[in-house]
Amino acid sequence: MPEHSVKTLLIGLDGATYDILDPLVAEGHMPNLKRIMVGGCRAILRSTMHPLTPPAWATLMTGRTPGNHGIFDFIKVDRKAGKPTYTLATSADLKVPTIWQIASEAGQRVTSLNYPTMFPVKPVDGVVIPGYVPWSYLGRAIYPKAAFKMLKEKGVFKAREMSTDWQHERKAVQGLAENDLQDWVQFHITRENRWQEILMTLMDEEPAELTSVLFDGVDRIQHLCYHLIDPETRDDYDTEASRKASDLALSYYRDVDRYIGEMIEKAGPEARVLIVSDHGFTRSGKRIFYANTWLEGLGLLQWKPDVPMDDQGRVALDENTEASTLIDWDATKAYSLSSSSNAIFIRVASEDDPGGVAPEEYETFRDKLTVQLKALRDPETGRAVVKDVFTREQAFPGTEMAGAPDLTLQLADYSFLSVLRADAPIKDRKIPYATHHPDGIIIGYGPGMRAGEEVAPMFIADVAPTVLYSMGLEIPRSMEGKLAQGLFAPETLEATPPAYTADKTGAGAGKQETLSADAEAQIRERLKALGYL
Amino acid sequence: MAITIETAEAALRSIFEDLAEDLEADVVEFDRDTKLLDLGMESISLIYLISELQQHFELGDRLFQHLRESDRLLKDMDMGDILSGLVAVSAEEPSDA
Repeated sequence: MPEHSVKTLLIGLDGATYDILDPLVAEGHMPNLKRIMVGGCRAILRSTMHPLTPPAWATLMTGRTPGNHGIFDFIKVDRKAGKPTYTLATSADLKVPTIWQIASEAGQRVTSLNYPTMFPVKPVDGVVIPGYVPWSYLGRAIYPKAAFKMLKEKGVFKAREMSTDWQHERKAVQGLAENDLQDWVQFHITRENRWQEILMTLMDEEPAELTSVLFDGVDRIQHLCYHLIDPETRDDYDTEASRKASDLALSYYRDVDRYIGEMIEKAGPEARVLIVSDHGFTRSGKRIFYANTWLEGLGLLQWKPDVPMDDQGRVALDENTEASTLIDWDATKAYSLSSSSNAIFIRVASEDDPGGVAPEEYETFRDKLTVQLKALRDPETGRAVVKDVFTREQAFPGTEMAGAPDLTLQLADYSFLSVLRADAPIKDRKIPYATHHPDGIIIGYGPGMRAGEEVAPMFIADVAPTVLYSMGLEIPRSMEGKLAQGLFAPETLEATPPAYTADKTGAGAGKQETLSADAEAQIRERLKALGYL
Repeated sequence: MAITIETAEAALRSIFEDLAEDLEADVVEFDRDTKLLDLGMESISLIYLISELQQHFELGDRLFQHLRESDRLLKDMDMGDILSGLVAVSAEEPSDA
């Protein structure tokens, strides 16, 4: 086997924010991160327009925006028939090649652990263990099969401890009782330890030039424990259960910091390191917007008989039941299907489905709904509920735009809407909760990178071309992201200027339409207007 | 390539044999009347199973599309629905070819 040494180490921390990391570094919980921040270069990494895990990571992994890579949510919605249905988004829905496919095709070995929308794995030279896979399928999901057998023989593969239990996750992200928080944090401490053991094993047994891992417990723990982690608020919660959960959550960050140190040491001094998050985090407001209940009030949605009212501050059903089963489709013209998408779909009439909005009235209908959403005020506080509303042309321009929701909402407090039925469209949240914020992190460290500087904010699509450049590879011209030149020392850029290449379609991306030059130009203008470019 | 009930069934049996080996468990036995819910898998794993079949037979996402047209949830389907779905989809011209 030829020698392989790590050129680039890509460490994903789902939902990481400087608002939490900086205080934890200052308090001494994360000495390795401190060393990297001092010896490296950092910037805010602006997420996708809707800062959600699957579309944001897919953008980071491909250098393309959701309108072009095709991932908009955890789910893929099919609304060809009158009644929409959905399934989990998979790699079949990701229409463009990932950095692992591109690097592999360029002759580099890759390791990719725990990234979303990677199953079924598209073949590469290296090892891929997709994220978000249930335990019973995780072993089979590993590519190649020999890697699974090796990891099992080494005793580091323990599917139940490192997989995703969707039902558990859906229930937990709605909020847990104070006494259950410790179990939630401990679950992720164990889980990250498994992924770290696997990564360390692969770095020994199957070394790869591009070595990548995603720790997603940061996001899961922050959703429920942000108030117990943030030094500004953690002392306000002084019950024994809160203090224990807080201590455990802090120990989680110390573990992650230790893993970062171990990975960098094993990668060696020649490796460049990028630590990135898909979005940032912030505290949610105290109110929940029940979008479908609001649409019912406008006469645009009808519930099926006997759909119960939510009185627990939930945003979705606990079990894996589709929200579409709650809605009377004979009398519904607009609806929200998932909390995570923060989106409203409009049912457009067709020959097969005459019940929707007439196509010629679509624009007017959508404009009116936008105006009504922007005018919506919380009756208790008088404040706007919705900060902004984006049409799909604004939010997701590109070849895959037809799969995007009609309207995507940015709520005033960045929180997620509820798809459930309630007795009022805006109600109190029952427990402290935190939510996604557009400002994530990027930290670069290693040979040829700037040291001790904070540079201008970057866009999440910039990570893919930056990873390829850091490995000495050509950057496909189709990537909407740009090389993050600010992370590299000027002499590095001068000595090794970036090289660009035409798209390679053989990277297993599947069908990929191309845009005309005019359409590309329009998309770039749109992204500029949104502050992405 | 047209898929027959036999090739579809063989592909499924091969997946279940692999899964059993991975999990060090007994191979799941099925026939065309076996409910998907009775396969002992989480509902999300069923989605991954179908994704894998689509990739194996190079069907894009056409098997999912076909199954959605029946207006039934995955949990209410049986293995016969999957097998006949594979056969039906492979007989169609892909719309995005």
